[in-house]
Amino acid sequence: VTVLLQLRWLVATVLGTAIGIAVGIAIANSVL
Amino acid sequence: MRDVMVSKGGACASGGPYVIGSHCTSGQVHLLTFGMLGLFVFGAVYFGFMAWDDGPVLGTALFGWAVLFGLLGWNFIYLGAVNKPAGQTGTSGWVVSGVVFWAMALGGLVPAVLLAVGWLRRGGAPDPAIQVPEPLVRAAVHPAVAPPSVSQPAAPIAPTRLVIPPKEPPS
Repeated sequence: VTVLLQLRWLVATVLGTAIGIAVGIAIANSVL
Repeated sequence: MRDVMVSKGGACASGGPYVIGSHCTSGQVHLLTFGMLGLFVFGAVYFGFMAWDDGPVLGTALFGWAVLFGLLGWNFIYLGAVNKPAGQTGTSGWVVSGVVFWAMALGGLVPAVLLAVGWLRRGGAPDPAIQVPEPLVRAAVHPAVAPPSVSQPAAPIAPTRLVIPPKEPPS
């Protein structure tokens, strides 16, 4: 847990990228 | 952009004073417009968070650069050389664009990987080269020098009294 807290920028980057890709694909499939 | 390349041959337009041969769909317009705006808005939020949390801004920005241009280059090369859209001819320009985009992506990927390898070797510790142990520039302290003394001249050079010569009689 301590390591994850120290690397919270890395966790946020990975989670944000995954969420962004998922939301982007969903929006593109619904619009096109 | 990929949908425009697949369904419109890579070019489309909407509005304006000219007759348009390839119309954009509203979905393509919205995706291109808000996709680019979203890139800048969420990029600003992301790097704002990274700066606030003292995260690595340079390395992640270089990785983002590499991902952006790597994906653009893959799109151009895949549709231009690997799997051309049906009826599409003359895709050599797409391949050239893809190669250039991949070269641009390498310019970000190589330093980003070097930064990441160095970070892993240090075990996540901050870069020691950034922590400057002592100041790079020091002030040189010279011994105090007495100001040059201004000596008064012993005798005045100019006459203190104006001596008017006697008038010559008119000839």
